[in-house]
Amino acid sequence: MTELSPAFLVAVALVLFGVVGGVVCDEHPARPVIHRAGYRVLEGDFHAHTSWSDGSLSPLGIVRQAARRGLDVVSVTEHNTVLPSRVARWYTTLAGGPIVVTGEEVTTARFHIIALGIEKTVSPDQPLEDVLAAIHAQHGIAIAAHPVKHFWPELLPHRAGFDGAEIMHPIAYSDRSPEWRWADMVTFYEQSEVPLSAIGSSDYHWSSVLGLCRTLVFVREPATESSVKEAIREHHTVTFDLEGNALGDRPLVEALRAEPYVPRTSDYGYRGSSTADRVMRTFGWLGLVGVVLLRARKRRA
Amino acid sequence: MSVLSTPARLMLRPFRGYEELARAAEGEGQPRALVGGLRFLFVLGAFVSLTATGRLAPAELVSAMFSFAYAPIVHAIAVGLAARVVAPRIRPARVFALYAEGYGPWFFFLMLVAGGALFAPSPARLLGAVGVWMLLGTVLWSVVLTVACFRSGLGLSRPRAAVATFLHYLVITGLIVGYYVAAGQLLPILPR
Repeated sequence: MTELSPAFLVAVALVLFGVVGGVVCDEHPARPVIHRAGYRVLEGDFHAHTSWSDGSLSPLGIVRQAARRGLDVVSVTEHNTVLPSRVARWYTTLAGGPIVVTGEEVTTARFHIIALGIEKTVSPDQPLEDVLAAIHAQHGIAIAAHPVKHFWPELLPHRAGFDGAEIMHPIAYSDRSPEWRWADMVTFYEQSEVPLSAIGSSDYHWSSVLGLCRTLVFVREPATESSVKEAIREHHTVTFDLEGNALGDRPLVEALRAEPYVPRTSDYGYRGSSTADRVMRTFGWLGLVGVVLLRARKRRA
Repeated sequence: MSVLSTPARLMLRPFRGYEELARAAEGEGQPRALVGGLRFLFVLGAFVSLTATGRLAPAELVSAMFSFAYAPIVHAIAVGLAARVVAPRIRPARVFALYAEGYGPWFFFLMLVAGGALFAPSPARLLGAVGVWMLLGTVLWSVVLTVACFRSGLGLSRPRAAVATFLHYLVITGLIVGYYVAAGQLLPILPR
């Protein structure tokens, strides 16, 4: 039988500690039932990618992570396919979890559109107005994804055809170029002549925080996928900017001013929820480094 | 050096390390190849779990191992085909067994990024600043190890090792690009 080296065994033990910590400290915060202005208030994130394309989590993982982040509703919006979001909805029905609204990010070089509440994939190989028509033909919701200046030439002429626009997005934390500025997303929303739903989304791929940017959705009960869709269609949404100012439907912003409710915050890192949690995750990481770097077998004399 | 794992030692001394490994692992094949592939998937699964949840959550670890199971399979196909072209007598399992010991640079990269996600004050800023350079370094280091695998591990001549390395990356690129084209995901992942 192969004898394992003591150092390697310690590393394995540390990994096991980490895994135990990953189970014991894996909290799914209880979601309080909040009402404002006669509506149930849900916290949602409507833009997340999976390992189907350039994300790291599976559709199932997105649902579980949404539960960890205290989200009431989540949308998996893979590039140019609705299939992963249907898998996510199937999983949440089976295993329990946040409400899943099916979706797709219709992605082209000229525009990105979040299509929510659709069942069939909307092809990106068509003009923008046809994409909007295809989404609405399925009673879906069209949201302008990160409508920065880069996309304005195509988006602006069709702004009235959208139901909503992302105005909070991780871009807000790291304006990268003049073509990709968060302020322009807000301008796109504020200068619209027709009302748009204010959407905050995390555009989750990997190594960031799902639910970093959130949308408060004011739904009529019972809270279901349909009632969420209906609320977004009626522009019953609010999101918060970097300073914590509420943006969105005026009466609902007023209602929140009268009786404040701020969605749970998520910092950009992983600080751990307790000392035990921090210790266990540190052990887990150190153990992994050890397992990778240390010789497993004892050297023969 | 004696306390280091094979992937770690190969990172430090690619050519001599592969020579020694080839001598020691003569005749071994399928079990080592399987262990090498599974170890890669385990580290990748742990990376996904740590960077997504901040913990070693077993569900995320295992589910990422399934989601990314194609990666070592693609590598095995690529390295097997490349070896078949330049040295038809070498068994594919042996080739991949040797190749899978050269994942060290990727292990190093994944653990560094996961560590950054856990411990850096601002992980996103850190990744933005050094992520691309780390990735570039990892790819280059990995190319050196692939050459060493063919040259010293399999004992191929320099030209054959060069051709095998080129074919290997050609097949990997072809398979991955082919998937993204077939799934309609190529345009979305290209840099904006």
